Amino acid sequence: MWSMISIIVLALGIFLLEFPKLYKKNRKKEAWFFTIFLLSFTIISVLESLEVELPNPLDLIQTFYKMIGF
Amino acid sequence: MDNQTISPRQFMFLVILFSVGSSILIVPTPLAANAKQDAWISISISVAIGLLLVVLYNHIATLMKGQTFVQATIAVFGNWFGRVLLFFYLSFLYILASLVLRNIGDFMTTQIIPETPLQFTHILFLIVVIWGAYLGLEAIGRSSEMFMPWVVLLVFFFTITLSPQIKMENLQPVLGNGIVPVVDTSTFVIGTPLLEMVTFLMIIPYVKDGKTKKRAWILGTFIGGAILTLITLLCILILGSDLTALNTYPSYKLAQKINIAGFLEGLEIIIAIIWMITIFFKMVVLYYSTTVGIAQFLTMEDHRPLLLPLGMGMVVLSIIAYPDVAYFETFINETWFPFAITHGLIIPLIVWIGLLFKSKKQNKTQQEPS
Repeated sequence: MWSMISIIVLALGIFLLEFPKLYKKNRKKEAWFFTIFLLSFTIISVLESLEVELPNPLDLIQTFYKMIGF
Repeated sequence: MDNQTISPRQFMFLVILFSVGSSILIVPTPLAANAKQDAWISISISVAIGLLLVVLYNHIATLMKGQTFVQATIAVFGNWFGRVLLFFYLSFLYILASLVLRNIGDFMTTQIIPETPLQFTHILFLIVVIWGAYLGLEAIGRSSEMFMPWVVLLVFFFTITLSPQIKMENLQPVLGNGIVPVVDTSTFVIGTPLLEMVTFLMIIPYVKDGKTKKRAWILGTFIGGAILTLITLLCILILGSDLTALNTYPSYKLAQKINIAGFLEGLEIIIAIIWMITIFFKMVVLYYSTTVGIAQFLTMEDHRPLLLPLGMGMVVLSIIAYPDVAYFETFINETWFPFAITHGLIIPLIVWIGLLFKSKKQNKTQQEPS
């Protein structure tokens, strides 16, 4: 529970640190990408802190190279 | 991104630190397990092949004409196919960075601070790396100049204090099991760190001075490879191939054996400073090139807003990457080499061919002014 709260607080902190700078300079595209990245990685971190089994990209890589015969 | 440049010498130091970082911890074990007492021969073969690889990368860098790998690929293959290639290239860099982070985290938690949870080691280490990447390439290059003397000094210290314990018979018989396992094992060091050098295709456009930077890359790879060979050789000479193969971090085990005149012991933490410095530089180069690459991929003007969000993802990825030690060993021994060769050789080769065609076309249009 505490780890979830601290992750969300951290994400809010990052948002408040970077977003106003981008907003002032009127860089809409940058602000969008920043928000999308932050939101998705915050969700992933929260899921990890709740001990949800996340898919491991290395499994995917391993099965791929096994498939083509390494 | 913002017209920062580094000198060829700083670039060479970065290449040295990059090739030593993290490999110094993980390389001796699998080498000694497969090639036994000839591990040092197989690592020399890999360094020789690595130098050829760097010649190819240097040629690609010349053809890129001051653009980074990401910009050049988009320019050659267009918005769609270029971006598909780059997606794989950037994901390789990102995964590599998180695995390097996991290496230092595992080393710290098993050897130095066993009671601190893995996440906190990763977060603390990554904060410093993000700070470095925020300050930009110039700060990274200058700090590499600051730390290089320390690394050289400590490697010398390491070698000299351990030299009384060398047992030459540990190397015999040379090529006792034939040449086949030696050549077979050389793929390991080609995979890590030599094919990982592809990262520097993102850095090299920011290096001043066209001619000496090629030499700097080759010389840096050579010196880094020589340090790796030296450490592996010391491991085998002192611990023997069997004990090297059994230890997870043989070079750290080696440092624990330092004993000056019977009264100065327990110096391994000073030696661990080399590991931390080199891994820090490897991380910072990887992290900087990944974020700059992603920023250019998305045609953003500045990479700095991406640093913190990507760091959050990297901490999670580095924790879920290896569920246990057995997974780590099979991944590093079996999957890493084909994975690295796809992204470190095949993708650069495709881009190289594209660049060759493009530069020929340009030459033709210059010759026939219409």
